[in-house]
This record gives sequence, C-alpha cells and structure tokens, in this order.
Amino acid sequence: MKSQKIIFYFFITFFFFGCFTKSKKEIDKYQHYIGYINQEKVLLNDGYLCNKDEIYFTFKGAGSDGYKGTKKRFRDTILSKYKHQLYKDSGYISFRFLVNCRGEAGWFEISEMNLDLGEKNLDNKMVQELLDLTSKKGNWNVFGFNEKEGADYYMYLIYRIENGKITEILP
Amino acid sequence: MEKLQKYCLKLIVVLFLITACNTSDLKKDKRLEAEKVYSEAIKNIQGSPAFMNGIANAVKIDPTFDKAVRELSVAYVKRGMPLQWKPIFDQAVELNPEKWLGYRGYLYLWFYRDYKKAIQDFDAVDALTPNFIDNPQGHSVHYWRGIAYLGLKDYENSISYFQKHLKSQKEKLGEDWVEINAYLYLGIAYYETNELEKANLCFDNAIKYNDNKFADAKYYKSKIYKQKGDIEKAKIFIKEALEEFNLGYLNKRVYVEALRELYLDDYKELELSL
Repeated sequence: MKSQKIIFYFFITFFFFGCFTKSKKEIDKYQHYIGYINQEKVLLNDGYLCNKDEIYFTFKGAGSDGYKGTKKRFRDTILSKYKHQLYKDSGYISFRFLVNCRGEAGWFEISEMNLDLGEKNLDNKMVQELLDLTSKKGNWNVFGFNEKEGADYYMYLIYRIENGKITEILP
Repeated sequence: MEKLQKYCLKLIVVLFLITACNTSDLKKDKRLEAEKVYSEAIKNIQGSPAFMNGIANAVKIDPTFDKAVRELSVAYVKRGMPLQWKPIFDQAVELNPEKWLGYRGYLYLWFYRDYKKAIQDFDAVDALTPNFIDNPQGHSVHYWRGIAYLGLKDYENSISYFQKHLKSQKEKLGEDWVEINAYLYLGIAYYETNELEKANLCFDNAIKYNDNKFADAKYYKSKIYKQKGDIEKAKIFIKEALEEFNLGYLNKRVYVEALRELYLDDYKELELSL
C-alpha cells in the first residue's frame, strides 16, 4: 500500500514539474542575432576580416552605403554581364554576405526560393553566375569612419528572376 | 486494489481541476502575461537573442498573440531572409487578417517587389472592411495600390487609385496634408501616359507642398520641358533639381530602394542631354 502512495505522489510531482518548468531548449531557441553569418560555414570564407567580432550594419545590411558608386551602377553592371538567355528558372536568390575592410566580398550564405518565397533549388549555373558577379571586388565600398581604418560590414542582395531574367535587385 | 482506485479517482479530480483552471482563469490571463513578457523583450535590440527568445516566450504563453508573432518576423525581413520571414508573417495574418493583411501587402510591395501579391493583399483587406479605408503603414490602401500598379506599369489603375487617395485625403485633411509622393507618383503615371499637362500640375503640387524643394519632381519637370522643346526652362529645372538632390530633398526610403528612385547619374545624364 505504501508503494502505491509513493507512486501516486511521484506521479503528481512529475505532473506539476512537467507543467510549470520551461524547457531550456525552447528558451534558448535563438542563440545568435537574426542575420548572423557563421563565418566558418559559408562560401568564399577564406578572406581576411579586420575584426570578425565587430561587423557593421548587421541591423539591416549596408544598403546604399555598400555599393561602390551607386546601386544604379551596380545594377547596370550586373545586367550587362549576366547571361539571362542561358536560363529559364523563376524565383528569388538571396545572397547574405560580409564585405571586409578592403572592400572584398565573401562569407556568402545563399537561399534559393520560388516566386512564392518557398524553398526551391534553382539552376545551379544561374546561381553560380550571380554569385561570381556579385562577389566581384569592384562592386563594394570600403566602409570606415576614417581614411585609415576600414570596417567589415554585412550586406544582402536578393535577385528576383522571371524566366531566367533579373527583374529586380533588392532591397 | 480498492485504495488504488481511490487514488486514481483523486488524481482524475486533481487533473480536472487543473485543466478547468487553465481554460478559464489562465486563458483570460494568458494575454496579459504574454504582453508583459513581450514588453520586456522589446527593450532589447530587435532581432537579438534576448529579443527573439523573449518574444518566442510570449508567443508560447499565448499562441494567438498576433502582434508578437508578427514581431518575430520583422528582423528577418530587414536582414534579407524572406524564407524565414514568410511563414511567421503568414501566421500573424492568419491570426488577425484585418490588422496584418495590408501590412503584408506593403512588405510584398517594397521588400520583394511582388506587385501582384501586394495588390491581392490590399484588395483583400479592403474587402474585409468595406466601410473603412485601411491605412497599413500609415498610408491608405489606395495609395499603396497606386504605387503597386505603377510598379506593374499599369498606369490606368495607378492613376485611378492615386486619384481616389487624393480625393479622400483632401476631404479629410485638406490638400496641404497630402503625402507629396502621391503627387510625385501620380505625376509619373501621367508622364508615362504622355499626359504632360496633368503630370506637370502634379509635380508643381509636390514641389509646392515640400517647401518648394523636391529634386525628383523638378527632374521630371525638366524632362517635360525638354520634350516640349523649351530647353531653357528644362535647364533651369535640372539645375535646381541637382542642387536639391545634393541637399537631400529627394524620394528615398530607409530599408529599400524607392520605386523610380533617381541617382546622381540620372540627373547628370539629363543635364548633359540639354
């Protein structure tokens, strides 16, 4: 009889414990800030960062500060070199990357999507061509607060592609 | 055996009471508790682990808390992660379509330039509230539809929605309270359909209500005068436009490129052509 009581109280305790303690795993679901790039696990990550622990513009990407020249010039360059005739896919390709203190782009994380923003593998050659064009050094600004010291920064670009053609370069 | 049955019975009663409490009192208090957790979480930097984990906890407390669900998605959209943004935002829309449909349309419009999906959302939210003009992100759905149709190069619809927007704004607030970009974009739609006089009038209004300084509107006025063959006037307007561009009186957005955003090269090209 005593053992039945023990089982009963054990069960009650277990029930309350289960109900009122929060799972540590869920509390810590987000280990890094949104947009964090794991420098060890991304493409073209063999470059040099001035200060890998202090990346600028992580809040929203460098945007217009990132382009060498203007976004208009960047767009004109990409559109003049990109060979859209070779591709038929439609979707979005997002490149999230870092630009180092010398204006060199690297540390690329790529997402491929359909036009509904769902996951979809797009033509590898098309993605590779856009990666090659996007990562070219001449595209990116050296950003810094003074002439001597450049800073590493976060940048992102999303290409909207319809039937192989770039229709938008975002944001 | 009999005692075991008694214990089981007690256990069932205890479980029943707990469940009853949860579904009545706790249900009422869940939103309040979730709001408290949310208020603490948003004191942190948007998208930081403390911010995200705090909001995730608020959503865990009350999974119907649409404002918190939506907030979980915001850092993804700002940092170029649509794949992660979309399912979360869709969840917020599902929980409260009246509040978030128009907002999703706004994001489709500006962040993904999916004009058709944007229009679908603006139409849907408009249909949900037929006696009320919705104002997602501070502007009427007519205004946003005007921009989306301009993006689609459907100038007829663009003009129609900007006219509706201007009419209701003028009636409610008076002409000088109208958003100047409504005049700018309506002017561009007229310009594209070669209705130059109407376009010119819109650009004049945009300039007038922006303290007489507006590079984009003066750029288009210069183009209109060039088209009419009045090169002297075209030169005057492009000179002023360039000055005002350098002073920062221009159409620009913080997180994204504006629709029909103009760059220094555009002004210089036009200047050189005169």
